[in-house]
Amino acid sequence: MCVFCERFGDPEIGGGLWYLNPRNYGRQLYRRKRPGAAPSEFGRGYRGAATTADPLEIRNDTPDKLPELVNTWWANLDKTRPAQVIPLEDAIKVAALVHPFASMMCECRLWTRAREERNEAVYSCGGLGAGMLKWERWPERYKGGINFMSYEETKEWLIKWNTKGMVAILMTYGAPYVGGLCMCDYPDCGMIRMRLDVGVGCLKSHHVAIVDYDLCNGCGVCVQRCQFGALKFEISTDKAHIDQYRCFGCGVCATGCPRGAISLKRREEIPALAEVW
Amino acid sequence: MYIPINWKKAPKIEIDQTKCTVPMYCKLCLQACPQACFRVTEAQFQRFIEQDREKLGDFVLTAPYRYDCTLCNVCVEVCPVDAISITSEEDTDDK
Repeated sequence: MCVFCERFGDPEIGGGLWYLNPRNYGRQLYRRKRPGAAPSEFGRGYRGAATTADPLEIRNDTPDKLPELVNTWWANLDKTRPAQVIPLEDAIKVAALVHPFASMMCECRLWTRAREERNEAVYSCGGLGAGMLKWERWPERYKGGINFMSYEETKEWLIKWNTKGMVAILMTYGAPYVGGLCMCDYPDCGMIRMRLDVGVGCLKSHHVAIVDYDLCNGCGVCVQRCQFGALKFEISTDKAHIDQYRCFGCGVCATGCPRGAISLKRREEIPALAEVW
Repeated sequence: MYIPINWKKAPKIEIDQTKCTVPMYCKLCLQACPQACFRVTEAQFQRFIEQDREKLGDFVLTAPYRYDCTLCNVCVEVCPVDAISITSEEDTDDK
């Protein structure tokens, strides 16, 4: 069980997974602020620039201080806005759970690649919950607008991006309030990049990928799809190998495998990986 | 928990902001960099107002991910106004 499941999961709902607990969608929105109280943690540091600047400066100029930063971040998970990688099946379950679900322009790719997604066909970022109704009120601020989708459309949208090789990441805006479900890749996506390069930002999923060596024929498709550098193709055995410690359990390799040789296994079933997040 | 170790010194990427004026409109270096070291940000955040990508000074080009730079010099070659210069700290060290 990850930190979130222990604190925010319900053992009777969705097998204890925190993101399948409906309580975590919109909890913060219904909390009334006391008059004169300080602004809540919700929404604080929304601007990506403000939250990513400091770790990157440390990584660039004084990398010796990085372990300290990483330890502080992990000790204060509930005060930051962490994300978690989830496999496609769980993303579809989340889509069934929440309403409304809307796709929109990815702000990470706008920053790193100046890629402007200005129509429904290319929106790769997903927002969910009642917070989306706010974006609709501010079409000018939210560049390109947003596209509200039904459950069937959301499912198609998730499968479309998964087929292209994007990883589903559940974004929290002040844990455990879930506000987004983005389809990300490395290095353009900020969350994956912060985790791989700096060590903060997002948690691994509750799964790890396992290769069935009897079925694997060494075609190498999965190696191209891995965004985390966990997969490598070994020439001498003619099989794909997964570094389980680096595996984030997104399942993108499994959906791309033409022979169905890769399957996802729960992290808890492997003792060495049970506490690796 | 994964903490990256044994990293190299981050190269210095200097961007001449007087030459690089419309990075969001030009975007050549942003799309050419294999390591995605660059990032374009709004020069100033104004609520409810969308910045104009063709207007001078609305967007600023920065290189916050310069630790990933491999000194391939693609951005220097691709820049139409010669605004980018890269120096590696290893060159200046006496080690």
